[in-house]
Amino acid sequence: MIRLFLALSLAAGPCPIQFTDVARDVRLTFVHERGATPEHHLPETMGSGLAWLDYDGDGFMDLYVVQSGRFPPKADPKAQDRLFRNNGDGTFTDVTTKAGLRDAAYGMGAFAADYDNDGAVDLLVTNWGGVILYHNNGDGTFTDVTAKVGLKATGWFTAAAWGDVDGDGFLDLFLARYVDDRNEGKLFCGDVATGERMYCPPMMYPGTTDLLYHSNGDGTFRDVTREAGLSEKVGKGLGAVFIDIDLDGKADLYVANDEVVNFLFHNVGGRRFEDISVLSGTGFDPEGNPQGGMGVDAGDLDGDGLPDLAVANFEAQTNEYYRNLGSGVFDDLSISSGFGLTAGNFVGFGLNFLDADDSGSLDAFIANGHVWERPKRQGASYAQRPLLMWNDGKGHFDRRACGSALERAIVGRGSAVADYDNDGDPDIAVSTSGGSLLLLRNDGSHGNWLGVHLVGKRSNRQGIGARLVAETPAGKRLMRFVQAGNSYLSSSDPRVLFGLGSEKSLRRLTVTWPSGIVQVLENPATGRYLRIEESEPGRP
Amino acid sequence: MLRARKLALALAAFFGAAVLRADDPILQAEKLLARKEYAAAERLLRETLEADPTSARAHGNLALALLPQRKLREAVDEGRLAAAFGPGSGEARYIYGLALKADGRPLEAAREFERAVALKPGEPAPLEALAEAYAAAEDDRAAEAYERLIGLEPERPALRISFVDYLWRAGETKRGNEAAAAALEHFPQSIELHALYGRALFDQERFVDASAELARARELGDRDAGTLSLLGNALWQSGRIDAAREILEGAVREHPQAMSLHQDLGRFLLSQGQSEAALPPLAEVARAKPRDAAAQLDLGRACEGAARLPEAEAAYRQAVSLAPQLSAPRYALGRLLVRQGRREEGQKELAVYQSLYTLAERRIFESESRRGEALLAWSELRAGKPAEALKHFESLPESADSLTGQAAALSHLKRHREAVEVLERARTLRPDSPKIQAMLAAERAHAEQRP
Repeated sequence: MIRLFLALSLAAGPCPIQFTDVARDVRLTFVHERGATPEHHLPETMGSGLAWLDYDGDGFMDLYVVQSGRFPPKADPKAQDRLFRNNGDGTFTDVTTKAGLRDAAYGMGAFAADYDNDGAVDLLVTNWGGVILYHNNGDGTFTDVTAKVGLKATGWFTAAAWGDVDGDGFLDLFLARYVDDRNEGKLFCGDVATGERMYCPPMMYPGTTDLLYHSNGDGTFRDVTREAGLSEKVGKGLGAVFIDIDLDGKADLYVANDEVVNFLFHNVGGRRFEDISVLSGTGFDPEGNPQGGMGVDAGDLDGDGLPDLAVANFEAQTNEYYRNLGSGVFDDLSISSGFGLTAGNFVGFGLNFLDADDSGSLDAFIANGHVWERPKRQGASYAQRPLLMWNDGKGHFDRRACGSALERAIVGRGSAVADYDNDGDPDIAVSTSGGSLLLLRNDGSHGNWLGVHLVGKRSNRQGIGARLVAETPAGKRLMRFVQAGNSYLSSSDPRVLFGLGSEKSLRRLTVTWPSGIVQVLENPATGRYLRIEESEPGRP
Repeated sequence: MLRARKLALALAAFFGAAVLRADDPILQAEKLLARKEYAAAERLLRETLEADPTSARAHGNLALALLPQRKLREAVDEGRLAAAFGPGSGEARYIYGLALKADGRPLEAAREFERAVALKPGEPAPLEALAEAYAAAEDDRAAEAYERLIGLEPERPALRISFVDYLWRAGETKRGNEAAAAALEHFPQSIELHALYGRALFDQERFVDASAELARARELGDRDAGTLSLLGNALWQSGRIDAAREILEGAVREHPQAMSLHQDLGRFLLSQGQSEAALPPLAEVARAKPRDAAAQLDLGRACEGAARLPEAEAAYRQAVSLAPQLSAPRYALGRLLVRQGRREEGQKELAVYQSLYTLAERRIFESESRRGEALLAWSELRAGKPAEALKHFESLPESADSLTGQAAALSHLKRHREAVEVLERARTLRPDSPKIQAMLAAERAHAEQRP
């Protein structure tokens, strides 16, 4: 059935900043290989993700890019993921081999976090077939510790997210799986008369369960999916984010599923999750229909002090903006806010909240690209331009034309945000299916800013899950969260960037750590990155 | 019901067959038939046949007189006699075919039409009947028959319409579109063709092209509510929001009694976040259709969007009571209650919704995956791999479609007796399918030829 939808050609408004694709200039040369075959295996449509991480601790964000390769997977150099070291001068160097990274599986996503709190950021890679956990040795190299730490599950792994579910100071790991494609050989989609195949829709594949691994605190993990109440939840996960939706200090979990209900799991006591997907209103569109959920992000879009949720969806559906009303209840503002009005022919994948002009409000970047080379829907194309949805500060959005890089059609997939040049504005890396990597550098004038780099002590080392509130002299409160895993198959810069607009200073910065410790900094200096180590009140 | 046009064609065929005296009773009877005085014609023809029971023309005409009176068995008998006494008469075969078709015997009818066409290859009427019979049986020969027919009668738009309609129904989308475009070149002023093509393009999700065709139909004078509705929706889908609104609002003004148009307009406005504006048309629909759950649900959505929450709740509750098995009103009501802080009440509705959703999700997966499996089997058959296809068809749950596939595969493997058995089972599941009947007849014939 055709769903009737929205304005496709809303004109983009002017933009005070410009995004420029500088990937080639900075030597981020990477071409995704999707391994398209005449058989049209579903994994070939997925593209891949990327992860920003400061693997060498030099204060500059490096970039890990996931490669797919041939399908079915074969040991193939073309399938090798890549790690690009940020040289600190605006350029990158491919250090994959030097770093000892050898993942040549059919890759999906990458999610960086310091899981063992040793001060060196580790890396989880999801693949079709399994996952790989790379332990950062702290000397510029990594070691595959997957089996050693107990991450042996199999399946088609896609999204992942790191979060301290039980508040013990160690990061736990959520792994989403997409579909069970073992019987794909029994399906045909396409033109029976000519035998020409196309990709089958996800509805034809059975869903699967996701997995939750608890960190034992000694570097190993234990599967607690059943104990956490997640073992019966069958989905088709493509996006996941840990976010404390009710500000009770416990990491809740939101999962975008493809054409089935999205999950919102409320963390009850740090050991168990309660499924509030339907009750919360975040499982479906406003009419109760499941959507083709891909990328997700969470953040306070309307400045009311509660984290909201957003999902990038398939064509002829709206990109969803769920406004948090408190008490685990959300309102769907996709239409009334303008957030979803441009969705129409676009197939949304990567989705990131970012304060593009450092104005103090979170905008949204959406990487689009179809899954079919020849989309059935007239007007839709395989390559599609990305969208920058501009926030007026009150949670109302309109599309802005922020540079030619955002007008160029790409087959967009994963996207991840980082201030790679440490100039105080967010840049965006975008992977494309079967195409070149993009690095969208944020150029132009923007507001004042403050960057925050957390170092946990009682909490996990990176302060993942921490809530930061910046108060301006004018009384505006900006709330941000530290996350590890969001968007589509990707993870972003874990540092928090506050855009302050025309405010020259900050009155106060409050950090609520995952440990529960609340740390307040009065009048922090702005226009720089601030390193904050977790400390008890009254202690330095 | 036999169409008057076919009667006239059949009669015309007979008029041309032989010269009769002006006072000949057969000629008198044919005049009565032309005036649709069927009972009088029947009486006169029966009298004539008493005098000359071997007159093929009288038997044929009697069959034609009996058909509109729904005396089908007698019409078949008379048709058979006409064919028997006029074995070289294409007209008699054609009339016999018409009687068989009216009696629900499409395969036998098609056989008679084939004979009629063979005897009268330049006569459009039997060829049209044959094309229709093939199309009904999903027989590939329909396309060729239509093409020949169009060659005989190039100035009849209706034939083009039937042809493209057949191609689209047969899944030959591209060929259907080409035929439609060719027909439109020949009949650029045909409202019906523009509207039909627009509708097909809409179904193909070619909304830009669909809106162009539908707009052309409208320009040529099509004021049909269905066309206007589709045009508005095509414009909406194409992102031409202002134009869609203009068309839908105009359509409502033009057809104030057409509730479907009020509903289209209201839903369109809701989708644009204009709940206040959506209220009047959706309230109109709800008033006109107080027992329609969908109308109440739409009204509730508009009220909710306009912050008229008590009215929204009342409308949702009405929708739930009208259609308790529908999931959407449960979701809307449950969500409204939860957002109002009435969590427990809302949870009850949402729990019902969730169970309905879970069932629906399972059904969708099962039907979709079965569809993919069936398509694999059909593609294997097309690719000349009947053994593999048979294996896959056999692995599907028994249904008319899977059995039809099995039979097709068995036929390719020349296992005709087994194909007959399988098709007999398919026929019990779908007794009215001309396709199954056609296959069954063909397999029986093959089975009889092969020991």
